[in-house]
Amino acid sequence: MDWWVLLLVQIAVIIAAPFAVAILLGIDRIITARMQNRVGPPVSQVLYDFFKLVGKEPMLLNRPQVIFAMLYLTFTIIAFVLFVFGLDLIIIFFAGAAGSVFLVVGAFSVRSPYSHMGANRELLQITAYEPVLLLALLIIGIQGGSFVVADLYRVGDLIFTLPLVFVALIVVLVIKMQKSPYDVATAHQEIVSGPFVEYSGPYLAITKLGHWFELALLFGIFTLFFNSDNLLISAAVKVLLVLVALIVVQIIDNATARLTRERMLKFTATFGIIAIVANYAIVSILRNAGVI
Amino acid sequence: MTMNAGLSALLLVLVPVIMGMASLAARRISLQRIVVGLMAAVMVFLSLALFWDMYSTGASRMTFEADEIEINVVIIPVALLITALDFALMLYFVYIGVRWRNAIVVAFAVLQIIPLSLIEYAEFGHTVSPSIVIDYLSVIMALVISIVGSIIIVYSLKYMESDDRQARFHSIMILFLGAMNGAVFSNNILWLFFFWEVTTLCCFLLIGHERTKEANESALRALIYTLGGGVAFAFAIVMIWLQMDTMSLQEVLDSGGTAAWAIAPVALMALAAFTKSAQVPFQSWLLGAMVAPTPVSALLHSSTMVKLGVYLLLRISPAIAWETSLMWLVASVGAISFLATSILAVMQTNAKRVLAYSTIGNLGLIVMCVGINTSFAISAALVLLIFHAVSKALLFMTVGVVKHEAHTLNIEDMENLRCRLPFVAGAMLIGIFTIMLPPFGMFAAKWLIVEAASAGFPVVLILLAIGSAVTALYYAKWMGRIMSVGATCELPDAVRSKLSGIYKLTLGALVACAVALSLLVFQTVQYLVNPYIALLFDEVPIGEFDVLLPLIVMLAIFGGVILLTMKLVKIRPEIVSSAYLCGENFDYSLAGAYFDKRVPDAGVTYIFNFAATVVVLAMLMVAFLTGVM
Repeated sequence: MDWWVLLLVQIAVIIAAPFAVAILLGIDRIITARMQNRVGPPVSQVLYDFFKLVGKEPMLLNRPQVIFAMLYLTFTIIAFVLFVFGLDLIIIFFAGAAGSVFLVVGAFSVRSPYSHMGANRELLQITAYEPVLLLALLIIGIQGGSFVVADLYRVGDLIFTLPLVFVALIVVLVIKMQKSPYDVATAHQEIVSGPFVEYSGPYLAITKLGHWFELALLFGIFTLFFNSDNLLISAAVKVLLVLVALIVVQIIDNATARLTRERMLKFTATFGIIAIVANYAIVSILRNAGVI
Repeated sequence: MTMNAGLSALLLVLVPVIMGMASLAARRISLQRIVVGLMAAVMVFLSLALFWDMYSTGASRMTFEADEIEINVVIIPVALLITALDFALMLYFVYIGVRWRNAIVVAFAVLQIIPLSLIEYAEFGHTVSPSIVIDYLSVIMALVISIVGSIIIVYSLKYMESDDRQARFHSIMILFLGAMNGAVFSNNILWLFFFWEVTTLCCFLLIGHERTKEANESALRALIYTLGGGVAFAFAIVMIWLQMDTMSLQEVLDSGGTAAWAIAPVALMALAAFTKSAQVPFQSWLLGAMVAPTPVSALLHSSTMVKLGVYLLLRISPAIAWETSLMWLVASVGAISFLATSILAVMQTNAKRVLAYSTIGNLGLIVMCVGINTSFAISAALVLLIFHAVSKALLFMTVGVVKHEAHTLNIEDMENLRCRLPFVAGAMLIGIFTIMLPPFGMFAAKWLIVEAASAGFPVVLILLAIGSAVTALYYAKWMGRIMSVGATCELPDAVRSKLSGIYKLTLGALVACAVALSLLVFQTVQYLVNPYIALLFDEVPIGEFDVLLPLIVMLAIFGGVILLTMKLVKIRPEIVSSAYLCGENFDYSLAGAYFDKRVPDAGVTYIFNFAATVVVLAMLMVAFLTGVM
């Protein structure tokens, strides 16, 4: 592929990503509705909501709130852009992690009880999923022989060698998608919408967009698990992987009630880390035994 | 080879000694200011001159003879002088032990005198050639010590303004810098040991400055721990002398570890370094040191004392690589320290305590890197050392100002700070940003560390991953506290405290350093870190621009987004709403109660101390077994 074609494709992916995530979230809402015997909104409802928010009169509590929301958006975009350009996974991880921290500080920078409670809970979520995500990326890098995304797209078999890492990442996705049993930060019956409660109109739209890019990055990481020389097969399996992850999250969401934050922390940290370590250990043993 | 670098190095040790005495004599505050200001200017200039001399000659290592220095026909027997001072210092430690009726201090001092006497008796008048070696590790240390250290002492002029014994206080602070510089230039292990023990003394005197019961106890505890490390160091020196018959550190490192008991002195020196750098299980003295005035904490944590421990580890890093199990154990001590202190820091509300734990954790990362010992890891360690010094000094100093202006050290009480003390809050935010977030310098170090650790250290990797997430937790909580205000702050009549010029100057200088270093991370790596890495390894891992380019771009975007948002979002009364209270109307106070004391400190400390003690004992076992076998 010529470099400029590649560049055009990359830019197209970056622009299309939030829309794609919004559509996925629309599908997500329809599936939930059907599971609950409802019809559900049209698939593009999430997008409509977004554009409506953008057009609203801005209201705010103070300026830092907006600055940190912007920084949240900026760093989630940076993380995603670096991913699409095929750069270092660790830098991508840290850029994304910075985004999450900015979201929390934004929620803290208003003097609001619900926002603060949400921020505190968001911090606990970060503590729960971040070690798992970082370890998963590290193991992917070690197994794939490189931390550079562009190189990892040439490694074919990660889903077969690292299936438990894939499972651990689904737990991360549950938290990131604000789904039961781990929607502790935005728990709507208790603390309204947690860290987002003091944002409205266009500023709420900023945080929404940031969230979409965050999810886009996570879906992108899922696509690392399978690559094939045949572009069509490769693309099909990648989409399949994302959909499988999404449906599993759906089922978990609808089959479970929200857990306490302590249980979230305990389960994610122990299960996630053990799954990844076990996977790594098994692969290492098999490799040393000459099986793979 | 020019003599300039040698002269700069000599002056970097001598100027603090002279200025320290001058400060002791300067009783009036105005005179204190002149002496300290002059000292700061000279030290900054000399350290930059040293770097410039190394850079312009293109040398990566310079050596000087300094056993005897001739000035205008007068010959100063430096070697002899240092030996005499060393024994005087040891006897002073004995005296302190007797005065405080502490048998351990006396025992530790005697245990240092015996091996040193043995060497001096057998080899009186021996020479080490060269006695001074300056490479880029020394230059990095000298820059950190002289620039960051000097800024802290200038800050202390204001902070200690109302203290009766500020002359004594400043003279010890200044002497501290000289001792640190002496240690990083010495190739003669006995000289290194002497300066090492001088820092122990300075630390003891500074922690005990307030002369309260608590201060005295903390000072004594610090003395016991670090003197214990000194004993390990003294025995390491004897073992080196018995086996290799040399006191030149460079010769020892070049020997390749072929001697039968080569590992033992390395392990002992690592042990000494752990006590100095307050690694778990030796961390309690640094936490106790919090009782000292804030400038002391800033100095101990950023540019002196604890940095000397990791300096020694970095210096002997080629020797640590002689034995794989030693590498593993050193890396484990670092990783345990990082994880333990990250978890402990979450449960603290005292800002100084949070910072103390964070220091131990960051030094743990450096120790971990020395254990991993690849070119990547050592580069990471050096980058971390530089950036940590600046950010940590800045954070301690802002905490000190808050203590003076708002009379609290409690992070929970810092709510509204950006309104009350905007300059300090801004500096504090920048300190936290630069210590934890991309694209600032420290992040470059963290990224390198993660990549380094992935080179076959899976256990270390897990500790690192958990610790790194937890670090974000306590710093984010802190940032949230500072930022948390209602809309009133944006109004022009909001109440703001006036800030002293010295505070503004020193905080501003460190903010400028932190931002400049982040902008110049590429140059920092290229001109300071890489020349040292090239001495140790065949390849220099981070030379290419493209690796660091994303960071610079990120920094530009970061600044741009803040400025743009500030410009675009205008506060008008009609768009400001009030916080959502679910339809209720009540008065509330906010608290970070989520993370308070869920687990008792003592329990966590106990578990990690136990783990780290096992590792340290294993390290000594390795030292013994490699010798026997």
